[in-house]
Amino acid sequence: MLKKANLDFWLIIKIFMFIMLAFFLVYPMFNLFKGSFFNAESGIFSLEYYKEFFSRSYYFKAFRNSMSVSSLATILTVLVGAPLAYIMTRFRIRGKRFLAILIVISLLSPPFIGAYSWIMLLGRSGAITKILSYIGINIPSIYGFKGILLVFVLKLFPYIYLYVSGALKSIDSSLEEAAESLGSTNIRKILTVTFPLIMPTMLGGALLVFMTALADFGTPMILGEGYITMPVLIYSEFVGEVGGSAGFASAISVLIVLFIIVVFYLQKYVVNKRTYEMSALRPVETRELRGSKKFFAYLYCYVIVALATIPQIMVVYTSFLETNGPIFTGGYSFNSYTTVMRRMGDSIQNSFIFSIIAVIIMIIITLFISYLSVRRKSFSSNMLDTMVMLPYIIPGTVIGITYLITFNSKPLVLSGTAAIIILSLVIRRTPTIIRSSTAILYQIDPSIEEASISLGYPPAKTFFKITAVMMLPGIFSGAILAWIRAICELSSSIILYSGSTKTMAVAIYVEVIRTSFGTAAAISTILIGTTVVALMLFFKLTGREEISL
Amino acid sequence: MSVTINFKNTTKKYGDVTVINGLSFGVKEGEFFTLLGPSGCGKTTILRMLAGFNSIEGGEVFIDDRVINRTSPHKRNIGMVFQNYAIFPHMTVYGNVAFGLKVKRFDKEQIKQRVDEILKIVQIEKWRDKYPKNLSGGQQQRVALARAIVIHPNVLLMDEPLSNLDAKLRVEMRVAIKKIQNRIGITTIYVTHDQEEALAISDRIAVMNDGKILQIGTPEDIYLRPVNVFVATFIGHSNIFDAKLVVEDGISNILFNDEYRVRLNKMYGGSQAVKVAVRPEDLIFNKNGVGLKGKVILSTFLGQRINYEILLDKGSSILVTQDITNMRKIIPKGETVHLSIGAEERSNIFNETGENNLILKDNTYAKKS
Repeated sequence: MLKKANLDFWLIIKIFMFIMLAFFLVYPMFNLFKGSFFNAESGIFSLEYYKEFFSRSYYFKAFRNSMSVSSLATILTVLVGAPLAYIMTRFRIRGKRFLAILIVISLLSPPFIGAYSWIMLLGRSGAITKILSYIGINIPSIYGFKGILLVFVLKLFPYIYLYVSGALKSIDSSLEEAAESLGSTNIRKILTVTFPLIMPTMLGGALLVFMTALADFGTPMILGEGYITMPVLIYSEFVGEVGGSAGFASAISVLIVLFIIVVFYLQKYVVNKRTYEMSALRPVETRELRGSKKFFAYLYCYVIVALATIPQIMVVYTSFLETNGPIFTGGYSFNSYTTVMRRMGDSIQNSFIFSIIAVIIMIIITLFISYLSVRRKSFSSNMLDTMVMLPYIIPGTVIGITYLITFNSKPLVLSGTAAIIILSLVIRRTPTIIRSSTAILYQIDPSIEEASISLGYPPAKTFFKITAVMMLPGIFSGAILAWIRAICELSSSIILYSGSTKTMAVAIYVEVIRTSFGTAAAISTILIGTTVVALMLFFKLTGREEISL
Repeated sequence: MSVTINFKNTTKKYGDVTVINGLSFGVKEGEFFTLLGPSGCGKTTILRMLAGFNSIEGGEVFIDDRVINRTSPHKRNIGMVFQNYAIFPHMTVYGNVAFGLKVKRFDKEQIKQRVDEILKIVQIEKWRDKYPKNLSGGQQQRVALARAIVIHPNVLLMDEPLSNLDAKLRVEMRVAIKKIQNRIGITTIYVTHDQEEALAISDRIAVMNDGKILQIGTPEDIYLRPVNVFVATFIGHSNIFDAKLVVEDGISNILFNDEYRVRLNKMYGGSQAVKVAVRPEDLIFNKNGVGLKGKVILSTFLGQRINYEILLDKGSSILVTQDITNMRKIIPKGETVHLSIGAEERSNIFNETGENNLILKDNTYAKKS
């Protein structure tokens, strides 16, 4: 069915994409894999790094820590997020729209902000800790397992909330009414109809929570204090001044990637068997609650959202406090901001430039790859699509060290440049927009393109004048979300940055480690502000009030 | 300015599956030519081969005397109207129609002049600056038509352009299309599965089934003298009777059964089993008790005419149409009637397999298949 003329343009694009992916994905991953077997000093291939990992309990403990904190966080986010979604979609709750926006903001604001906000509240010299100890109550330590778990749950339950409320809205009211008319009680209806219908979606959300928790670097790094998780281990083994080993870090990275791939396909296998295509003609109407039920519903929603929002409020508040190093001297000022502008103006600029360039490249790649995989279906197009999606499940820390190992030496030396950070952002975040772009393209009838071709526009021109223009509005909303993620990126940038390519997220991290909480809060506030503005833009552009992932 | 189109031995394959095998036919200058057939018969495939969106696996396609097999679709200068209109949603009506002229590097003034002229012809000048989402189906169809003809294409191709419109608008638009085509005199190939539409709009029709052309002819030819039973039943309705052609003493008779025979004025071959096709309007209720005996099982009043479904004593059920002007009263359900053939010369006699019309001497297409 392919015409020769079409083939030429798209064949060139396809070959170009393959070369790019070979260079910036396959080759680095291969390097990582090779590096995990190869001892640079002795020049011998062996399993020594793997042996070391499994033989020393210190390392294996990191794996066990990661597992336990991630799985428990996943379970708790479901327990917190699913009821919240149910209450918010099925019952009339005043201020619902506002709550929903706060939930999204807390999800999209930089991940490690939660960690240090909670330190400022519940840490050794935290505000709440001090007040409580003053009246004689000693609260358990925020550091280590419990603190990481708290931050993960409050940070990640919005995923479950968004997935489940999306699924609940897609259930047509007739389904539940049918159950009721057949004599089911309310609880029975929820257990036998509603719950099974949203189960696949909820599992999808749970997987996302698990992978995000497993890959998160900032939170355990700031809050862990000896409670080592895999990303922290990879980072410290890689950059560690004492006994740092790229080979060993590579081996751990390979193990964690393999593990995630197994979990990912396991979940896919379980979920695919029971996925239901649903679209509600008439979603279930919201009901008014009465009495104590109403009280507890309101209490639940507002408390959860308040807890999730505290870090953001805390950060903004602290940014206006007068500080002297880690000490808050009392009183308010803009000193933190002036310090930031004086010392860290570059990193703000860097963040914007890098993320904007990255998002433009992402959009171009997305346009091309989704076109190839939808309109030029073939084995190779499919392979391109799969390859581009792969980084979706690779932790940022792994991408970071992979890139640094690979582009530190010939043929292409990129370490310390802006390019390496931009490339890592592109490779990491393209998967988040490619699915929605593919879905948009499926909705555009191919005859629109044929009309343009028959009017005299060659295929390439048709693509840019018609197809791309029609796809852009849809891609754009996804691109805003990808951009927010890119500008908040820490886990890969922390490994790849150099003095001149420091980004806002890295700067916050560095300030937190130095315990200059004032300046950290000021940059964080700028970052949160940026995110909120971008989100408002997203809502305005899409005309929606919510985000679907 | 108008061109001829010729398919010579053209073959289309999808992988190993041949969907069109060595097809040949020609379209005359300025002709309105329709490909008519049930869905999946290959009519759209032929259209898309001409447009360049389907490759050609064998034979040639000519526009005038130029082979276009290897010409890129964007260089064929073909105007195409799609089933779903394929209007560019991000451009105004003007933008849509001007789109094809822009790539041909006309200057602005010329573009404006030609677009405005064509908008007038298709009567959408009022909606010039509207976006497609604000237009009705009929208006969008007119935009699609304007966009296709404004580039002065060699050929105009239309792929079921009316199938998304409601019944009334469909009739209105087909008249509009026919008039516009007459006015600009462009060679047009039109694809439809709607036989009534084909009859109404075409200069000539090619009736297709299963990747083959069964018959090419004017609407009258095809309706009155279908080459085989498929065409007879696909175009309009035909009652098909199993009968015998009996030649005795140089006189041909059609024996329907023991009770009814029709004498023919001409010879159409020797004695044999035949199939006879009679249109519902050519059967009359015989008051003298001559003809095929049956019982009325359903009557449908349609205003201008009445349709009767009649179950013959010899098993099969047939359709009879009575014009309201010839009617005294509606025959009630259950009444026994006799049906005879009103106009023998309008009936068609096929061989036993239904593949050949014995009345037609030159039966090229039927013989080929």
